[in-house]
Amino acid sequence: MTFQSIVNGMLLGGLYTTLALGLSLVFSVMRLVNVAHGDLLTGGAYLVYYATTTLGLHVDPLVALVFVIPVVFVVGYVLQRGILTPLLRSGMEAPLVATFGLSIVIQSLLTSVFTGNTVSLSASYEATGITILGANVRVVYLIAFAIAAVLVAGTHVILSRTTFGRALRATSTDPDTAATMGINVDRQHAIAFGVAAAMAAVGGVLVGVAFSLTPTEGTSLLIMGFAVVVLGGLGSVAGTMLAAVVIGITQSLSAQLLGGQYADLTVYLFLIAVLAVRPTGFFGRPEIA
Amino acid sequence: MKLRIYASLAAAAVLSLVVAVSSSSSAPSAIVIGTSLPLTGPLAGFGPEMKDGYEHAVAAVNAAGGLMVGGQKRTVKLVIDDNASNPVTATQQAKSLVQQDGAVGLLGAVTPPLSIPLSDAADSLKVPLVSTVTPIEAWLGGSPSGWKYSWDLFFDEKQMTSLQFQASNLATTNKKVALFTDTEQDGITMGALWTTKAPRFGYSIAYHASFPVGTTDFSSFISKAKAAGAQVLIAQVIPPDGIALWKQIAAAGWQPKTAFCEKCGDVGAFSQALGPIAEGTLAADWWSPSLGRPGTQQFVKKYEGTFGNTSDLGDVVAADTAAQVLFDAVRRAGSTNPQKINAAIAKTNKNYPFAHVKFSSRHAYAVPAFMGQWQKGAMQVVYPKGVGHAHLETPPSGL
Repeated sequence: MTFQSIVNGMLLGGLYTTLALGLSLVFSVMRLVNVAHGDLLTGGAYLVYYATTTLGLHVDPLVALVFVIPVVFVVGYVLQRGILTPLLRSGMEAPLVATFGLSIVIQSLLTSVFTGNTVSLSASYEATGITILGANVRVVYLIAFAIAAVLVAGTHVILSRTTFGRALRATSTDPDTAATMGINVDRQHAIAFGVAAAMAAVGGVLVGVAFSLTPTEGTSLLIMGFAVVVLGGLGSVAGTMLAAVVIGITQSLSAQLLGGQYADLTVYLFLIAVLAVRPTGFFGRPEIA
Repeated sequence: MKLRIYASLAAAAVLSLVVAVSSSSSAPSAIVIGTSLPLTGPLAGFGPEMKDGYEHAVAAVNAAGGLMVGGQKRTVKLVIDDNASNPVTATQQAKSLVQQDGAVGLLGAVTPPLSIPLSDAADSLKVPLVSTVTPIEAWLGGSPSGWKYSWDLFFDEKQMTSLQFQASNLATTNKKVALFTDTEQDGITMGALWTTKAPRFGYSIAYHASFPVGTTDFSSFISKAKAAGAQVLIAQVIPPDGIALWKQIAAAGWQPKTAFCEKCGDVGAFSQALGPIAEGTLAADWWSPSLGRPGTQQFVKKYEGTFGNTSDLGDVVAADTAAQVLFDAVRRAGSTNPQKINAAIAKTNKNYPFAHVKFSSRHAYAVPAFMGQWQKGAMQVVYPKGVGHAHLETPPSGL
């Protein structure tokens, strides 16, 4: 049963990775803590729900993402360019507060359109499981893990091996110098925010299929996302996935060995213990003054 | 100069007199009743039904000209706040409703986590509060010394926690039970009651999982319940958690002979979100059109299109009755004095759409619960057997 918990926790970590990756990307590029990230997760998921129910798009929720991701990307791009970029020039406090306000706006919009009722994204694999090496695992967790691995690898490759990625890292390291080199910093930031919003939509859809959704669900998803990003090291893509897997296994094992009421407590005690020893998380680097 | 001052004073006095006379001859002010409901957040599955029920009762009273108080009829103004399923917000709103909006009575939210803090606020404000959709024993547990201004009409867990065993007796099981309860007050209360009662009905608790509200991954608990050989599943969780749990039970290939989802399975959102997975799920219910209570057809006709099933409709009827109990108390008191209204509530003894309400000395009225089961997308009564009941489907086809 312990093996079952470890496998389950590891795969659950894949799902947690999809919750946190966009948060990590935005922080690494802009040093911005996006408090609305959880609501971008639920917002994307609700768009898929709308497309597959009200609009009658009879496809798998993950397939529906093909139509929703461009919309979410544009929304993210416009939000960054229109609201957050001007605020970033005046320091980090204003954009932080703005994302908090954005969170409330998204939650209110979702509630007014979809009511506060719990909804779920229907997929053929939402309630199916398979046995791997004697461990029964949910198919949706497997899919989430595979998607997380692809997203992490893709993000790493783009950031490290493409011109766009190098430009993005340059804007992150020294935006002023990057601008003098001809890089459009504002545009880079907006693209990063749009990509993060698209990644959030993927995570939100996986949550909607695996569990359920309410318009205010984003807040609790954000907390898990923060835990993953902080443990992995702020801005570290590889650290994000490692931390998500470690948290998933810790949560699953503690639920099995100590009981459900101690699962979250154990996760956050573990987080505090790691940060006490290594304040920058697994792969974070200390700021150089 | 002096003459001008005297003239101004005289004009002001006349003006004051005119204003006073005109205000005394205008329509009497409305009686303000307040409520703090979970219109958003995890308990939002209950909020709209409660709102509709309260508004239905208010509309009926105002259509009749209002409540007779102090020799004249006064309309009722209902002030509704959204507490976002947050107990702290609910408490703040209760205080604001009384102290700022001038509410002389309060109508409750749902479930003990919201109703207990609201009742605490009502008792400290000394303003009567009538609640429903809040199990009685957990609610009573919120005030060991006894509630003073708060009242609750709903099922009693002592009766309700027998139903799961009685309904399971209709199936052939090994009488091993897996309990899944959250750590809210009602989860604790009902978990203890099921544990105590199981042996009396010949059942044993093979496994008990306890977890906080908002838990999403139940894999470890399901594995343990399967390993324990449980064939009866009794869960007591909020709808979002219940939906996640049911998906994971189906994915794990665990098919109990009877599966109860209390607090989660009786809302329409449960069936809508899960679709075929919800089929065969059991949940205690407290109102059904088949009971033939007064006003049933009126509620069915008006709200069937909105809620589309009887379980949510039951919440509307319960809320309507809670509001009617409060309004009747205002009528009998003939006053908007909270103490007099509170004393009048204690004397309630009337047949309402939800139940014949007569409060005990503990400020509670126990509505007899029955067991319902989702069959072909509708909640059917399966226990006790009587007129209009359906046969128990076992094992549940959705799992």
